Amino acid sequence: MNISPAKSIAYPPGGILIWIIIYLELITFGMALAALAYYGAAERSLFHHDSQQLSKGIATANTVLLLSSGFLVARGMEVYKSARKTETARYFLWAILGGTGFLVLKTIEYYTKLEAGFSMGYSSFFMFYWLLTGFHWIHVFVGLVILIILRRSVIKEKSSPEDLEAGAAFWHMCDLIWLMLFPVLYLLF
Amino acid sequence: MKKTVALSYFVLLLFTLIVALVASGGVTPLAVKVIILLSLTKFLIVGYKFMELKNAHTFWKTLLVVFAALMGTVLVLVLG
Repeated sequence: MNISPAKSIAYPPGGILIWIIIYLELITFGMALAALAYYGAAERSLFHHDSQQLSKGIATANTVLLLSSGFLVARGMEVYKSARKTETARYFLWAILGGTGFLVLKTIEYYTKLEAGFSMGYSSFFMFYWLLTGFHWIHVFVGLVILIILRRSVIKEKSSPEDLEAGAAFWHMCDLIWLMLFPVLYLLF
Repeated sequence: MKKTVALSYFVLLLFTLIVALVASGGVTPLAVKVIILLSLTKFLIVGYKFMELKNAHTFWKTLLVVFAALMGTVLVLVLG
């Protein structure tokens, strides 16, 4: 099954509109991360102290969950092209569970930070932390809703390859954003 | 194809482990550079392999590499 006309500038995998959205999102998060790095370099010891309050273990586990979920979506798309749609639905189900695991772990992390008093107003670092990870949390939640809708369409045999590719691209975008957030927030200060 | 995606996944997990190990040794200028390099490599692997950007027009591929290079340069210059 040929999904996208290959090598045409107007047809990247998932369609041009989703890629415009992806690059706009990457630029937005990228600029915020550059601002975080800039302020962090100016107040290095403060940012180091605040960064140490975050759980690297939870963040690493979340990275593994998101990467695994992304891998399962990629595999789901592969088998979809081979017309093995039952397998696609199964891969998507596991990907949805992985994404849900990410949100649950992140919510637990949020709870422990709030309990410890690290709210958005605590410091510049935590302002960046809440804004960046909060917006990312919303993206993952929206991505999960999209995956659930796509899985249902696959099961009901009403799926369109273009919709599936675009939805998968959105899900992978959540991976891309997290792969930028994880090192800067949790590891580099 | 199946093997390529699975291999990419394995490399992504391996790099995640290495990044976590490097970070646990302290934030030295070298560690900062290694963490940024490995993280952006993971970023490009997800883009090229999982999002199938390798099958896309050169424009989209180049844009992702330029973005990653720009982010890496900014982070290394500011934090490295």
